Amino acid sequence: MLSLRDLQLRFVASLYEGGDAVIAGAIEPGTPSAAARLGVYRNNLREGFIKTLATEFPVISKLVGEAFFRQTALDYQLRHPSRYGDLTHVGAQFAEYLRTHFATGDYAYLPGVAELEWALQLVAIAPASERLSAASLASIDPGRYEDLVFEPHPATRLVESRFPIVRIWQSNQPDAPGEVVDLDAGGDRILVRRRDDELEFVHLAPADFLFAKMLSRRTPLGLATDASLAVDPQFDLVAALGNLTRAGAFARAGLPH
Amino acid sequence: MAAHARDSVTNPRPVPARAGIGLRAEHHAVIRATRPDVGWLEAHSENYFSSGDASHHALMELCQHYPISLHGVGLSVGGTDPLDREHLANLRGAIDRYQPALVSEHLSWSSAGGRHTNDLLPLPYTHEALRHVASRVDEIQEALSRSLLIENVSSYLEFRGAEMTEWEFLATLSSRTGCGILLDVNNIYVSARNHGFDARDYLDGIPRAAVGEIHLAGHSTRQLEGRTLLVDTHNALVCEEVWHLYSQAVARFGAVPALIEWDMDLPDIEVLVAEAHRADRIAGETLALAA
Repeated sequence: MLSLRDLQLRFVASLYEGGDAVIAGAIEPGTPSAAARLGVYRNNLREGFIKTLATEFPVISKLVGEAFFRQTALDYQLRHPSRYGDLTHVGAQFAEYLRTHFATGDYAYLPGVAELEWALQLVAIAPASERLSAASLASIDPGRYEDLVFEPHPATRLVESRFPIVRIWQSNQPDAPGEVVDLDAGGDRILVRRRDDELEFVHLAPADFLFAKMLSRRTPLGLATDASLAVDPQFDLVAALGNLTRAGAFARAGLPH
Repeated sequence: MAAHARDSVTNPRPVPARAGIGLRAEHHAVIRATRPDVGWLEAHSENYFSSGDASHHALMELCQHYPISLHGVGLSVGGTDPLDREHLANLRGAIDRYQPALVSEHLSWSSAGGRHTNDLLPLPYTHEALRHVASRVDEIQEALSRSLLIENVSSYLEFRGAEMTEWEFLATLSSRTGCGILLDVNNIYVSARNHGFDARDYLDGIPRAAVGEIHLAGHSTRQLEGRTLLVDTHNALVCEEVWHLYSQAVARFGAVPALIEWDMDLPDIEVLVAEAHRADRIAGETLALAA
Protein backbone atom coordinates (compact mmCIF):
# COMPACT_ATOMS: atom_id res chain seq x y z
CA MET A 1 0.00 0.00 0.00
CA LEU A 2 1.21 3.49 -0.81
CA SER A 3 2.24 5.82 1.98
CA LEU A 4 0.00 8.87 2.42
CA ARG A 5 2.79 11.03 0.99
CA ASP A 6 3.29 8.86 -2.07
CA LEU A 7 -0.46 8.60 -2.65
CA GLN A 8 -0.82 12.39 -2.61
CA LEU A 9 2.15 13.00 -4.92
CA ARG A 10 0.85 10.44 -7.42
CA PHE A 11 -2.71 11.78 -7.20
CA VAL A 12 -1.64 15.36 -7.96
CA ALA A 13 0.68 14.17 -10.77
CA SER A 14 -2.23 12.26 -12.28
CA LEU A 15 -4.55 15.26 -12.15
CA TYR A 16 -2.00 17.65 -13.63
CA GLU A 17 -0.33 15.40 -16.19
CA GLY A 18 -3.35 13.37 -17.20
CA GLY A 19 -2.16 9.78 -16.71
CA ASP A 20 -4.35 7.51 -14.58
CA ALA A 21 -1.91 4.58 -14.24
CA VAL A 22 0.21 6.15 -11.45
CA ILE A 23 -2.73 6.19 -9.02
CA ALA A 24 -5.56 4.03 -10.43
CA GLY A 25 -4.33 0.95 -8.52
CA ALA A 26 -4.86 2.73 -5.19
CA ILE A 27 -8.54 3.47 -5.95
CA GLU A 28 -11.44 1.13 -5.18
CA PRO A 29 -12.47 -0.50 -8.46
CA GLY A 30 -16.04 -0.48 -9.75
CA THR A 31 -18.40 1.49 -11.94
CA PRO A 32 -17.75 4.27 -12.68
CA SER A 33 -14.13 3.21 -13.12
CA ALA A 34 -11.21 4.75 -11.24
CA ALA A 35 -10.27 6.61 -14.43
CA ALA A 36 -13.74 8.14 -14.73
CA ARG A 37 -13.78 9.15 -11.06
CA LEU A 38 -10.31 10.70 -11.36
CA GLY A 39 -11.71 12.57 -14.33
CA VAL A 40 -14.17 14.38 -12.07
CA TYR A 41 -11.29 15.78 -10.00
CA ARG A 42 -9.23 16.55 -13.11
CA ASN A 43 -12.18 18.44 -14.54
CA ASN A 44 -12.52 20.40 -11.27
CA LEU A 45 -8.82 21.26 -11.40
CA ARG A 46 -8.97 22.54 -14.97
CA GLU A 47 -12.34 24.27 -14.90
CA GLY A 48 -11.63 25.85 -11.52
CA PHE A 49 -8.33 27.23 -12.77
CA ILE A 50 -9.79 28.58 -16.03
CA LYS A 51 -12.60 30.24 -14.09
CA THR A 52 -10.22 31.82 -11.57
CA LEU A 53 -7.92 33.12 -14.28
CA ALA A 54 -10.87 34.50 -16.27
CA THR A 55 -12.08 36.30 -13.13
CA GLU A 56 -8.64 37.86 -12.65
CA PHE A 57 -8.19 38.70 -16.35
CA PRO A 58 -11.68 39.47 -17.70
CA VAL A 59 -10.41 41.83 -20.42
CA ILE A 60 -7.81 39.34 -21.73
CA SER A 61 -10.54 36.69 -21.71
CA LYS A 62 -12.84 38.96 -23.73
CA LEU A 63 -10.10 40.06 -26.14
CA VAL A 64 -8.97 36.55 -27.14
CA GLY A 65 -12.37 34.81 -26.93
CA GLU A 66 -13.43 31.90 -24.74
CA ALA A 67 -11.94 29.00 -26.71
CA PHE A 68 -8.49 30.59 -27.05
CA PHE A 69 -8.53 31.74 -23.43
CA ARG A 70 -9.31 28.21 -22.20
CA GLN A 71 -6.48 26.75 -24.25
CA THR A 72 -4.07 29.45 -23.07
CA ALA A 73 -5.14 29.05 -19.42
CA LEU A 74 -4.55 25.28 -19.50
CA ASP A 75 -1.09 25.67 -20.99
CA TYR A 76 -0.28 28.36 -18.42
CA GLN A 77 -1.56 26.06 -15.63
CA LEU A 78 0.85 23.28 -16.68
CA ARG A 79 3.82 25.68 -16.67
CA HIS A 80 2.72 27.66 -13.63
CA PRO A 81 0.61 25.44 -11.36
CA SER A 82 -1.15 27.04 -8.42
CA ARG A 83 1.26 27.19 -5.48
CA TYR A 84 -1.08 28.48 -2.77
CA GLY A 85 -4.35 27.60 -1.11
CA ASP A 86 -5.36 31.21 -1.56
CA LEU A 87 -6.47 31.71 -5.18
CA THR A 88 -5.37 35.34 -5.33
CA HIS A 89 -1.87 34.22 -6.40
CA VAL A 90 -2.89 32.19 -9.45
CA GLY A 91 -2.36 34.90 -12.07
CA ALA A 92 0.99 36.19 -10.79
CA GLN A 93 3.02 34.98 -13.81
CA PHE A 94 0.31 35.35 -16.47
CA ALA A 95 1.50 38.66 -17.93
CA GLU A 96 5.05 37.30 -18.13
CA TYR A 97 3.75 34.08 -19.71
CA LEU A 98 1.90 36.10 -22.36
CA ARG A 99 5.03 38.18 -22.95
CA THR A 100 7.06 35.08 -23.80
CA HIS A 101 4.34 33.81 -26.17
CA PHE A 102 3.05 37.01 -27.75
CA ALA A 103 6.06 39.35 -27.81
CA THR A 104 5.36 40.25 -31.42
CA GLY A 105 2.48 40.04 -33.86
CA ASP A 106 -1.22 40.91 -33.59
CA TYR A 107 -1.40 40.05 -29.88
CA ALA A 108 1.69 42.02 -28.75
CA TYR A 109 -0.55 44.34 -26.71
CA LEU A 110 -1.87 41.46 -24.55
CA PRO A 111 1.01 41.33 -21.99
CA GLY A 112 0.55 45.03 -21.17
CA VAL A 113 -3.20 44.61 -20.71
CA ALA A 114 -2.58 41.54 -18.53
CA GLU A 115 -0.09 43.50 -16.44
CA LEU A 116 -2.72 46.20 -15.96
CA GLU A 117 -5.35 43.65 -14.89
CA TRP A 118 -2.90 42.00 -12.48
CA ALA A 119 -2.00 45.41 -11.02
CA LEU A 120 -5.72 46.05 -10.46
CA GLN A 121 -6.02 42.70 -8.70
CA LEU A 122 -3.04 43.40 -6.40
CA VAL A 123 -4.13 46.93 -5.66
CA ALA A 124 -7.68 45.78 -4.86
CA ILE A 125 -6.55 43.30 -2.19
CA ALA A 126 -3.58 45.25 -0.78
CA PRO A 127 -3.60 45.91 2.96
CA ALA A 128 -4.63 49.28 4.31
CA SER A 129 -1.78 51.71 5.04
CA GLU A 130 -1.14 55.33 5.88
CA ARG A 131 -0.32 57.70 3.01
CA LEU A 132 2.62 60.08 2.97
CA SER A 133 1.50 63.67 3.43
CA ALA A 134 3.23 66.78 2.11
CA ALA A 135 3.34 68.03 5.71
CA SER A 136 5.50 65.15 6.91
CA LEU A 137 8.03 65.90 4.15
CA ALA A 138 8.26 69.46 5.42
CA SER A 139 9.59 68.22 8.76
CA ILE A 140 12.75 66.82 7.13
CA ASP A 141 15.97 68.83 7.00
CA PRO A 142 16.18 70.15 3.38
CA GLY A 143 19.94 69.58 3.47
CA ARG A 144 19.27 65.82 3.51
CA TYR A 145 16.51 65.62 0.89
CA GLU A 146 18.77 63.87 -1.60
CA ASP A 147 19.13 60.91 0.77
CA LEU A 148 15.37 60.50 1.26
CA VAL A 149 14.01 57.02 0.55
CA PHE A 150 10.32 56.50 -0.24
CA GLU A 151 8.17 53.49 0.51
CA PRO A 152 5.47 52.85 -2.10
CA HIS A 153 1.92 52.63 -0.81
CA PRO A 154 0.87 48.95 -0.88
CA ALA A 155 -2.37 49.78 -2.75
CA THR A 156 -0.50 51.19 -5.77
CA ARG A 157 1.27 49.72 -8.81
CA LEU A 158 3.14 51.31 -11.71
CA VAL A 159 2.37 49.92 -15.17
CA GLU A 160 3.91 50.86 -18.51
CA SER A 161 3.20 49.70 -22.05
CA ARG A 162 3.96 50.89 -25.56
CA PHE A 163 0.26 50.28 -26.31
CA PRO A 164 -2.75 52.35 -25.14
CA ILE A 165 -3.67 49.75 -22.49
CA VAL A 166 -5.98 52.03 -20.51
CA ARG A 167 -8.18 52.71 -23.57
CA ILE A 168 -8.15 48.99 -24.42
CA TRP A 169 -9.13 48.14 -20.85
CA GLN A 170 -11.86 50.78 -20.70
CA SER A 171 -13.39 49.88 -24.04
CA ASN A 172 -13.64 46.22 -22.96
CA GLN A 173 -15.56 46.80 -19.75
CA PRO A 174 -18.96 45.06 -19.64
CA ASP A 175 -20.92 48.33 -19.94
CA ALA A 176 -18.59 50.07 -22.43
CA PRO A 177 -19.82 50.90 -25.92
CA GLY A 178 -17.94 48.99 -28.61
CA GLU A 179 -14.96 51.05 -29.70
CA VAL A 180 -12.05 50.33 -32.03
CA VAL A 181 -8.84 51.33 -30.25
CA ASP A 182 -5.94 52.48 -32.43
CA LEU A 183 -3.01 50.35 -31.24
CA ASP A 184 -0.59 52.95 -32.59
CA ALA A 185 -2.15 55.75 -30.55
CA GLY A 186 0.81 55.81 -28.16
CA GLY A 187 1.69 54.02 -24.96
CA ASP A 188 0.56 54.46 -21.35
CA ARG A 189 2.47 55.04 -18.15
CA ILE A 190 0.17 54.89 -15.19
CA LEU A 191 -0.11 54.63 -11.47
CA VAL A 192 -2.93 52.25 -10.45
CA ARG A 193 -4.28 53.12 -7.03
CA ARG A 194 -7.08 52.34 -4.62
CA ARG A 195 -8.88 55.10 -2.84
CA ASP A 196 -12.02 54.49 -0.70
CA ASP A 197 -12.44 51.00 -2.22
CA GLU A 198 -12.37 52.49 -5.76
CA LEU A 199 -9.60 51.58 -8.23
CA GLU A 200 -8.26 54.46 -10.31
CA PHE A 201 -5.65 55.17 -13.00
CA VAL A 202 -3.37 58.22 -12.81
CA HIS A 203 -1.52 58.98 -16.07
CA LEU A 204 2.12 60.02 -15.65
CA ALA A 205 4.55 61.80 -18.02
CA PRO A 206 7.56 59.65 -19.10
CA ALA A 207 10.09 61.33 -16.79
CA ASP A 208 7.60 61.33 -13.87
CA PHE A 209 6.95 57.63 -14.44
CA LEU A 210 10.66 56.81 -14.39
CA PHE A 211 11.04 58.95 -11.27
CA ALA A 212 8.14 57.11 -9.56
CA LYS A 213 9.55 53.75 -10.63
CA MET A 214 12.97 54.52 -9.16
CA LEU A 215 11.52 55.85 -5.91
CA SER A 216 9.33 52.74 -5.62
CA ARG A 217 12.55 50.66 -5.78
CA ARG A 218 13.93 52.69 -2.86
CA THR A 219 16.39 54.66 -4.99
CA PRO A 220 17.33 57.76 -2.95
CA LEU A 221 15.65 60.99 -4.08
CA GLY A 222 18.89 62.57 -5.38
CA LEU A 223 19.77 59.66 -7.69
CA ALA A 224 16.16 59.33 -8.91
CA THR A 225 16.12 63.04 -9.75
CA ASP A 226 19.38 62.82 -11.73
CA ALA A 227 18.04 59.86 -13.72
CA SER A 228 14.80 61.69 -14.52
CA LEU A 229 16.67 64.81 -15.59
CA ALA A 230 18.75 62.69 -17.94
CA VAL A 231 15.53 61.53 -19.65
CA ASP A 232 13.93 64.98 -19.66
CA PRO A 233 16.01 68.10 -18.97
CA GLN A 234 12.71 69.90 -18.19
CA PHE A 235 11.91 67.44 -15.39
CA ASP A 236 10.46 69.39 -12.47
CA LEU A 237 11.30 67.62 -9.20
CA VAL A 238 8.99 69.68 -6.98
CA ALA A 239 6.03 69.31 -9.33
CA ALA A 240 6.60 65.57 -9.86
CA LEU A 241 7.01 64.83 -6.15
CA GLY A 242 3.92 66.90 -5.37
CA ASN A 243 1.86 65.07 -8.02
CA LEU A 244 2.94 61.63 -6.84
CA THR A 245 2.36 62.48 -3.18
CA ARG A 246 -1.12 63.86 -3.94
CA ALA A 247 -1.83 60.74 -6.03
CA GLY A 248 -1.09 58.65 -2.94
CA ALA A 249 1.91 56.84 -4.40
CA PHE A 250 3.83 56.63 -1.12
CA ALA A 251 3.15 55.30 2.35
CA ARG A 252 6.06 57.12 3.99
CA ALA A 253 9.51 58.59 3.43
CA GLY A 254 12.55 58.60 5.63
CA LEU A 255 16.30 58.90 5.89
CA PRO A 256 18.40 55.73 6.00
CA HIS A 257 19.85 55.06 9.42
CA MET B 1 -18.89 54.83 6.58
CA ALA B 2 -19.31 53.18 9.97
CA ALA B 3 -17.08 50.29 8.97
CA HIS B 4 -14.04 52.53 8.80
CA ALA B 5 -14.47 53.73 12.34
CA ARG B 6 -13.11 50.54 13.92
CA ASP B 7 -10.09 48.41 13.16
CA SER B 8 -11.27 45.28 14.89
CA VAL B 9 -14.36 43.76 16.36
CA THR B 10 -14.78 43.23 20.07
CA ASN B 11 -17.08 40.90 22.02
CA PRO B 12 -17.98 38.45 19.28
CA ARG B 13 -21.54 37.24 19.48
CA PRO B 14 -21.93 33.47 19.61
CA VAL B 15 -23.43 31.84 16.54
CA PRO B 16 -27.02 30.92 17.51
CA ALA B 17 -28.70 27.55 16.93
CA ARG B 18 -30.45 29.02 13.91
CA ALA B 19 -29.76 28.91 10.20
CA GLY B 20 -27.35 31.37 8.63
CA ILE B 21 -26.19 31.89 5.06
CA GLY B 22 -22.83 31.83 3.30
CA LEU B 23 -21.61 35.38 2.64
CA ARG B 24 -20.54 36.00 -0.97
CA ALA B 25 -19.11 39.25 -2.36
CA GLU B 26 -21.97 39.52 -4.87
CA HIS B 27 -24.36 39.87 -1.91
CA HIS B 28 -22.32 42.33 0.20
CA ALA B 29 -24.28 45.38 -0.94
CA VAL B 30 -27.76 43.89 -0.58
CA ILE B 31 -27.03 42.41 2.86
CA ARG B 32 -25.59 45.72 4.08
CA ALA B 33 -28.61 47.59 2.72
CA THR B 34 -31.44 45.24 3.76
CA ARG B 35 -30.02 43.20 6.69
CA PRO B 36 -32.00 40.05 5.97
CA ASP B 37 -33.39 38.09 8.90
CA VAL B 38 -30.92 35.20 9.16
CA GLY B 39 -29.21 33.92 12.28
CA TRP B 40 -25.61 34.50 11.20
CA LEU B 41 -23.17 34.74 8.29
CA GLU B 42 -20.31 32.47 7.24
CA ALA B 43 -17.44 33.91 5.20
CA HIS B 44 -14.76 31.98 3.29
CA SER B 45 -11.61 32.83 5.26
CA GLU B 46 -9.38 33.23 2.19
CA ASN B 47 -11.65 35.94 0.75
CA TYR B 48 -10.96 38.12 3.79
CA PHE B 49 -7.18 37.84 4.09
CA SER B 50 -6.77 41.49 3.07
CA SER B 51 -7.09 44.13 5.76
CA GLY B 52 -7.73 46.90 3.26
CA ASP B 53 -10.02 45.86 0.43
CA ALA B 54 -13.73 46.32 -0.23
CA SER B 55 -14.55 42.84 1.10
CA HIS B 56 -12.81 43.68 4.37
CA HIS B 57 -14.85 46.86 4.77
CA ALA B 58 -18.06 44.96 4.03
CA LEU B 59 -17.31 42.23 6.59
CA MET B 60 -16.22 44.73 9.25
CA GLU B 61 -19.59 46.40 8.94
CA LEU B 62 -21.53 43.13 8.87
CA CYS B 63 -19.69 41.97 12.02
CA GLN B 64 -21.60 44.68 13.88
CA HIS B 65 -24.94 43.15 12.87
CA TYR B 66 -24.47 39.39 12.63
CA PRO B 67 -22.55 36.65 14.43
CA ILE B 68 -19.77 35.49 12.08
CA SER B 69 -18.05 32.23 11.21
CA LEU B 70 -14.85 31.91 9.16
CA HIS B 71 -14.75 28.83 6.92
CA GLY B 72 -11.41 27.94 5.30
CA VAL B 73 -11.04 26.11 2.01
CA GLY B 74 -7.30 26.35 1.29
CA LEU B 75 -5.23 25.24 4.29
CA SER B 76 -4.85 21.62 3.08
CA VAL B 77 -5.33 20.20 6.58
CA GLY B 78 -4.69 16.62 5.44
CA GLY B 79 -1.81 17.49 3.13
CA THR B 80 1.73 16.13 3.54
CA ASP B 81 3.47 19.25 2.21
CA PRO B 82 4.63 21.48 5.09
CA LEU B 83 1.82 23.56 6.55
CA ASP B 84 1.76 26.93 4.75
CA ARG B 85 2.87 29.30 7.50
CA GLU B 86 1.96 32.40 5.51
CA HIS B 87 -1.57 31.07 4.94
CA LEU B 88 -1.83 30.32 8.64
CA ALA B 89 -0.62 33.82 9.54
CA ASN B 90 -3.20 35.32 7.18
CA LEU B 91 -5.90 33.19 8.80
CA ARG B 92 -4.75 34.29 12.23
CA GLY B 93 -4.92 37.91 11.04
CA ALA B 94 -8.49 37.45 9.80
CA ILE B 95 -9.49 35.82 13.10
CA ASP B 96 -7.99 38.74 15.02
CA ARG B 97 -9.82 41.28 12.84
CA TYR B 98 -13.28 39.73 12.70
CA GLN B 99 -13.34 37.73 15.96
CA PRO B 100 -15.48 34.95 14.48
CA ALA B 101 -17.43 32.77 16.90
CA LEU B 102 -16.60 29.68 14.80
CA VAL B 103 -13.57 28.76 12.64
CA SER B 104 -13.72 25.73 10.38
CA GLU B 105 -11.59 23.77 7.90
CA HIS B 106 -12.06 20.58 5.86
CA LEU B 107 -11.24 16.91 6.31
CA SER B 108 -9.34 16.85 3.04
CA TRP B 109 -6.08 17.81 1.38
CA SER B 110 -5.31 20.10 -1.56
CA SER B 111 -1.67 20.05 -2.58
CA ALA B 112 1.41 17.84 -2.91
CA GLY B 113 4.92 18.55 -4.09
CA GLY B 114 4.14 22.27 -4.11
CA ARG B 115 1.33 21.96 -6.65
CA HIS B 116 -2.09 23.04 -5.41
CA THR B 117 -5.32 21.72 -6.83
CA ASN B 118 -7.43 24.28 -4.92
CA ASP B 119 -9.92 21.47 -4.40
CA LEU B 120 -11.01 19.37 -1.40
CA LEU B 121 -9.45 15.98 -2.14
CA PRO B 122 -10.37 12.78 -0.28
CA LEU B 123 -8.09 11.06 2.24
CA PRO B 124 -7.45 7.35 2.58
CA TYR B 125 -9.10 6.25 5.84
CA THR B 126 -6.05 4.58 7.35
CA HIS B 127 -4.38 4.77 10.75
CA GLU B 128 -1.38 6.46 9.11
CA ALA B 129 -3.59 9.19 7.65
CA LEU B 130 -5.45 9.61 10.93
CA ARG B 131 -2.18 10.10 12.84
CA HIS B 132 -1.06 12.64 10.26
CA VAL B 133 -4.30 14.62 10.17
CA ALA B 134 -4.53 14.63 13.97
CA SER B 135 -1.01 16.07 14.23
CA ARG B 136 -1.85 18.75 11.66
CA VAL B 137 -5.09 19.70 13.45
CA ASP B 138 -3.10 19.94 16.70
CA GLU B 139 -0.52 22.15 14.96
CA ILE B 140 -3.18 24.44 13.48
CA GLN B 141 -5.17 24.73 16.69
CA GLU B 142 -1.93 25.53 18.53
CA ALA B 143 -0.98 28.21 15.99
CA LEU B 144 -4.45 29.78 16.11
CA SER B 145 -4.85 29.36 19.89
CA ARG B 146 -8.38 28.04 19.42
CA SER B 147 -10.24 24.92 18.48
CA LEU B 148 -11.47 24.24 14.97
CA LEU B 149 -14.52 22.64 13.49
CA ILE B 150 -13.55 20.05 10.85
CA GLU B 151 -15.98 19.38 8.01
CA ASN B 152 -16.57 16.17 6.05
CA VAL B 153 -16.31 16.67 2.26
CA SER B 154 -18.09 15.09 -0.70
CA SER B 155 -15.98 12.50 -2.50
CA TYR B 156 -16.11 10.83 -5.90
CA LEU B 157 -13.73 7.96 -5.20
CA GLU B 158 -12.50 5.84 -2.30
CA PHE B 159 -8.97 4.59 -1.73
CA ARG B 160 -8.30 0.89 -1.29
CA GLY B 161 -7.00 -0.41 1.99
CA ALA B 162 -9.34 1.63 4.21
CA GLU B 163 -8.96 0.63 7.86
CA MET B 164 -12.04 2.47 9.06
CA THR B 165 -15.07 4.33 7.74
CA GLU B 166 -15.02 8.07 7.13
CA TRP B 167 -17.26 8.65 10.16
CA GLU B 168 -14.98 6.57 12.38
CA PHE B 169 -12.03 8.60 11.08
CA LEU B 170 -13.80 11.90 11.78
CA ALA B 171 -15.09 10.86 15.22
CA THR B 172 -11.62 9.64 16.27
CA LEU B 173 -10.00 12.82 14.94
CA SER B 174 -12.39 14.83 17.07
CA SER B 175 -11.73 12.83 20.23
CA ARG B 176 -7.94 12.89 19.72
CA THR B 177 -7.57 16.60 18.98
CA GLY B 178 -10.57 18.17 20.67
CA CYS B 179 -11.70 19.65 17.38
CA GLY B 180 -15.43 19.95 16.82
CA ILE B 181 -17.24 18.57 13.80
CA LEU B 182 -18.91 20.58 11.09
CA LEU B 183 -21.29 18.03 9.69
CA ASP B 184 -22.22 18.68 6.07
CA VAL B 185 -25.35 16.60 5.54
CA ASN B 186 -25.33 17.27 1.79
CA ASN B 187 -21.79 15.89 1.62
CA ILE B 188 -22.87 12.82 3.61
CA TYR B 189 -25.75 12.30 1.17
CA VAL B 190 -23.53 12.79 -1.92
CA SER B 191 -20.81 10.42 -0.66
CA ALA B 192 -23.39 7.85 0.55
CA ARG B 193 -24.92 7.75 -2.93
CA ASN B 194 -21.52 7.67 -4.65
CA HIS B 195 -20.05 4.93 -2.47
CA GLY B 196 -23.12 2.97 -1.42
CA PHE B 197 -23.14 3.42 2.36
CA ASP B 198 -26.13 4.31 4.53
CA ALA B 199 -26.21 7.98 5.52
CA ARG B 200 -27.93 7.01 8.79
CA ASP B 201 -24.90 4.93 9.78
CA TYR B 202 -22.78 8.06 9.29
CA LEU B 203 -25.01 10.15 11.57
CA ASP B 204 -25.11 7.39 14.19
CA GLY B 205 -21.31 7.12 14.13
CA ILE B 206 -20.73 10.77 15.03
CA PRO B 207 -20.70 11.56 18.76
CA ARG B 208 -23.61 13.80 19.77
CA ALA B 209 -21.56 16.43 21.59
CA ALA B 210 -18.96 16.91 18.86
CA VAL B 211 -21.17 18.58 16.24
CA GLY B 212 -20.86 22.36 16.38
CA GLU B 213 -22.38 23.24 13.03
CA ILE B 214 -24.31 21.70 10.14
CA HIS B 215 -23.96 22.59 6.45
CA LEU B 216 -26.72 22.37 3.84
CA ALA B 217 -26.23 22.83 0.11
CA GLY B 218 -27.36 21.73 -3.32
CA HIS B 219 -25.49 19.35 -5.60
CA SER B 220 -25.68 18.20 -9.21
CA THR B 221 -25.49 14.89 -11.02
CA ARG B 222 -23.15 13.60 -13.71
CA GLN B 223 -23.57 10.52 -15.89
CA LEU B 224 -20.39 8.43 -16.01
CA GLU B 225 -20.19 5.05 -17.73
CA GLY B 226 -23.96 4.63 -17.44
CA ARG B 227 -24.04 5.41 -13.71
CA THR B 228 -25.05 8.57 -11.88
CA LEU B 229 -22.41 10.28 -9.80
CA LEU B 230 -23.44 13.13 -7.47
CA VAL B 231 -21.14 16.15 -7.49
CA ASP B 232 -21.00 18.77 -4.73
CA THR B 233 -21.46 21.95 -6.76
CA HIS B 234 -23.23 24.33 -4.34
CA ASN B 235 -25.31 25.62 -7.23
CA ALA B 236 -28.87 24.55 -6.41
CA LEU B 237 -31.61 24.33 -3.78
CA VAL B 238 -31.16 21.77 -1.01
CA CYS B 239 -32.85 18.58 -2.28
CA GLU B 240 -35.70 16.84 -0.43
CA GLU B 241 -33.56 13.87 0.56
CA VAL B 242 -31.00 16.18 2.19
CA TRP B 243 -33.76 18.07 4.05
CA HIS B 244 -34.93 14.70 5.36
CA LEU B 245 -31.38 13.81 6.42
CA TYR B 246 -31.10 17.24 8.08
CA SER B 247 -34.21 16.49 10.13
CA GLN B 248 -32.62 13.20 11.23
CA ALA B 249 -29.41 15.06 12.11
CA VAL B 250 -31.33 17.59 14.23
CA ALA B 251 -33.11 14.71 15.98
CA ARG B 252 -29.72 13.22 16.86
CA PHE B 253 -27.57 16.31 17.50
CA GLY B 254 -30.19 18.75 18.80
CA ALA B 255 -30.28 22.48 18.11
CA VAL B 256 -27.08 23.31 16.20
CA PRO B 257 -26.21 26.32 13.98
CA ALA B 258 -27.00 25.42 10.36
CA LEU B 259 -25.76 27.07 7.20
CA ILE B 260 -27.05 27.40 3.64
CA GLU B 261 -24.07 27.29 1.24
CA TRP B 262 -24.35 28.46 -2.35
CA ASP B 263 -21.29 29.27 -4.50
CA MET B 264 -21.99 28.88 -8.21
CA ASP B 265 -24.89 30.37 -10.22
CA LEU B 266 -25.63 32.52 -7.18
CA PRO B 267 -29.35 33.38 -6.88
CA ASP B 268 -30.96 36.49 -5.35
CA ILE B 269 -30.48 36.81 -1.61
CA GLU B 270 -34.21 36.07 -1.04
CA VAL B 271 -33.65 32.49 -2.23
CA LEU B 272 -30.91 31.92 0.36
CA VAL B 273 -32.98 33.54 3.10
CA ALA B 274 -35.96 31.32 2.23
CA GLU B 275 -33.72 28.24 2.43
CA ALA B 276 -32.42 29.38 5.84
CA HIS B 277 -35.99 29.88 7.07
CA ARG B 278 -36.91 26.42 5.83
CA ALA B 279 -33.97 24.99 7.81
CA ASP B 280 -35.22 26.84 10.91
CA ARG B 281 -38.74 25.47 10.37
CA ILE B 282 -37.54 21.89 9.96
CA ALA B 283 -35.31 22.12 13.04
CA GLY B 284 -38.19 23.61 15.07
CA GLU B 285 -40.63 20.89 13.99
CA THR B 286 -38.10 18.13 14.63
CA LEU B 287 -37.24 19.39 18.10
CA ALA B 288 -40.94 19.90 18.96
CA LEU B 289 -41.67 16.30 18.02
CA ALA B 290 -38.78 15.08 20.15
CA ALA B 291 -39.86 17.13 23.18
